[in-house]
Amino acid sequence: MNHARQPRHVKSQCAVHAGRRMLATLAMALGVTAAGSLGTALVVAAPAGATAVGTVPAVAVPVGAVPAGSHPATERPSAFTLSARQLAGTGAHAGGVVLTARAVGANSVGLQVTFSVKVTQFEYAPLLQVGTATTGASGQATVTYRPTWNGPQEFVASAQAHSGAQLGPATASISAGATTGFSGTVEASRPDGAIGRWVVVGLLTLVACVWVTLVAVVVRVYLTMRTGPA
Amino acid sequence: MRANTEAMRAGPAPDLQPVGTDDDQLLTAAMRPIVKTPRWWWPSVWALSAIVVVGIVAWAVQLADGIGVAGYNDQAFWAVYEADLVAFIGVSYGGAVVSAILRLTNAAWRAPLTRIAEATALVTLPVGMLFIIPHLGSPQKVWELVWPPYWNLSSPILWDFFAVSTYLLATLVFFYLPLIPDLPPARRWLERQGTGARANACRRLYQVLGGGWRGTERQKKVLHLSIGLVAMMVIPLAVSVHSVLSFAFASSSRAGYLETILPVYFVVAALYSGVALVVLTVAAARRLFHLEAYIHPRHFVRLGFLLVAFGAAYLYLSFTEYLVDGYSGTTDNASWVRQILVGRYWVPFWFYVVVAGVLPLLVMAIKRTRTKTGVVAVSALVVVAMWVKRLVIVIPPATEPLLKSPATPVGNLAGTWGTYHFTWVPISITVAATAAIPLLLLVLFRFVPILPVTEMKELGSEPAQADVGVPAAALPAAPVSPEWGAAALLGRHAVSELGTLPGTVPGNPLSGPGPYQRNVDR
Repeated sequence: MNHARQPRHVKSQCAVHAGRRMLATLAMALGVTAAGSLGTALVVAAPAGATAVGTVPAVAVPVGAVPAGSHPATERPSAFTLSARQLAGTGAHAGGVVLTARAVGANSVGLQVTFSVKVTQFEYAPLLQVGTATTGASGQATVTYRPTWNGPQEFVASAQAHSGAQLGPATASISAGATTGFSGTVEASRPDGAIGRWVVVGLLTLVACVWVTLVAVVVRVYLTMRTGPA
Repeated sequence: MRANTEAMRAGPAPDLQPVGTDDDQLLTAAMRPIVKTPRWWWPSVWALSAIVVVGIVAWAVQLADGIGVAGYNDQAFWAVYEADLVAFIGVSYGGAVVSAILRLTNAAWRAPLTRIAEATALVTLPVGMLFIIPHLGSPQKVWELVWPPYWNLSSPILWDFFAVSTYLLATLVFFYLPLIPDLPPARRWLERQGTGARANACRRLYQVLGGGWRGTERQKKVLHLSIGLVAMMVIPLAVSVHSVLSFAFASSSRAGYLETILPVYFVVAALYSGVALVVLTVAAARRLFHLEAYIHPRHFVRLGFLLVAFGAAYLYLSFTEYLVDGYSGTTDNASWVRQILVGRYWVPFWFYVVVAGVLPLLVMAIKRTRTKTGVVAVSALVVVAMWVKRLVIVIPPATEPLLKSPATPVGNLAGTWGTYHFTWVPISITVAATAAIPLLLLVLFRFVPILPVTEMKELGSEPAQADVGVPAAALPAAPVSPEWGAAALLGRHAVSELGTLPGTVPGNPLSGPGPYQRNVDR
């Protein structure tokens, strides 16, 4: 697994998985039948005909050493899909497009999904990243995108499995309208904002005076030439 | 020439009306580009025009395929066009302001340079203004910037429009007024010696623009007052225009742009690169149109001192900007300063420091390199390095990541820096704009005299005695005011360092007996 490319919380989750597997293996080697503190159940099976416990090595198969549904890190989700739907109604997110990436199968939890929209403006970056999200217990990751143009919009989602394998790109298309823009910055209060209008009027008057002066200079010189010798 | 020398002895400001002074050597030199078509002229015009056409094609490709073909992306939203806009408008200030300052300080040595300097300002300003079109990406909406129902009075781009258009008018007037006294003698000269359709067109043009000039005392008085007034207006206008241009950066909330030093910074940078371009233009005109008798190598050395003064000021302002931002230690400012000094932008930044910061100082400090060749060479480097410096101003703050990423919860600067990719499109457009400047100058000087004949006569900027064959001793001495001109501008020591002019007492360049020598340092 390429830990260096994983987000911090994914790394820690992987570490927990690895620790639990290590403890389960240790318990198996010691013939421990249960590891309650870990919440792990070990099923001990003895070969048929065995009569003396302890003389026949028990074969312990760890069940639940990792959370339910978990698999070895080398396994990857069997499917990775993307869907898009537009939000209706009113409010801040009205008209936004909800992008949902779904990973199905092994190790589908804790994947960081990158969502992008396809654009034609940027030759070197045809995929404009619109957000990232991490898959939850159901293997879903969701972001809400606010379209900036009307018409077809094509989205792409991709993720990296815990094994390092690339998931996707999964694509989805939807026809949506541009949402009303809003500023992401907080406007500072402008206690003297009212004087702005007079500043503008004053500056425009100044510019007008400069224009009039320059034109008047030329006209005066020209008239002097027209009148001839004094 | 003897008659001309006699006229100069009689007193300054001879009326150009009397026949006999029109067809002198000075007027002939000034009219040479109009009546003579050198062998290099048409090939040069065609080559420069071809480069301009390539730039127009590149712009058409950008219109068709989007601004992404220029290397722009969501993490590099301002790049080469904004740098071009600042750089090209900036160089236009050099010509106008240098001419205005030298006029107001009555530095007589300016005379042979003013027409070329003002013409440089006149052609570079419209070329620079045009960069707003590819920069905005959608030219069909440019008019909405300046049309009252749509304009945004709180937008610095609109302020730029007001400032630059006002400055363009001032530059045009500043070019036209000193031209007026030259037009009647030029027209008469063409009537005697010019033939062909263009000569006829020039004569008609001169008649319209200055046909009524008779050189009367009243006309001279009005004209001198008008030129003085416009010269006084040009300087604050130039300062205001480039500071307003910086508002587009300085009034934003982005680290690296939000700098109170930027207005001053921009003005000094404009003067610095502008003087460098004037040096190049004057050198090219001197060589191509054979003006060696009027534009002396010491003109270049004096311009070199101006250049190095602005360069030192700009170097100091650069140091101040990075010191303050880096010293403050705020995360966002320290980040881009680090990227510029030792990070991904260190190559262009240190290129500027070495080429436009240190090298001009060395060239002008060392007597061996303080020559015309040295000044011209360093000016060429300064023009390039100052364009690179504009890129350093524009691109790093634009590519700095500001969005907080869930993958990097440690802060909003832990994201990925954007990258600007140069493509053939902006390079072609930039080169085309660069080619448009000499092209426009070549065309302009096919229609107007390249030297300010009347002004040079008034200031006594005739060819040096070695050129016209008049012994220096034959001319009367005149009182010299060493407080003016180069002495005032550069200091006594610097003036003595310039060496002696032809016909002067060795070691004392201000003791020359001839009118050219007397006045060149006035």
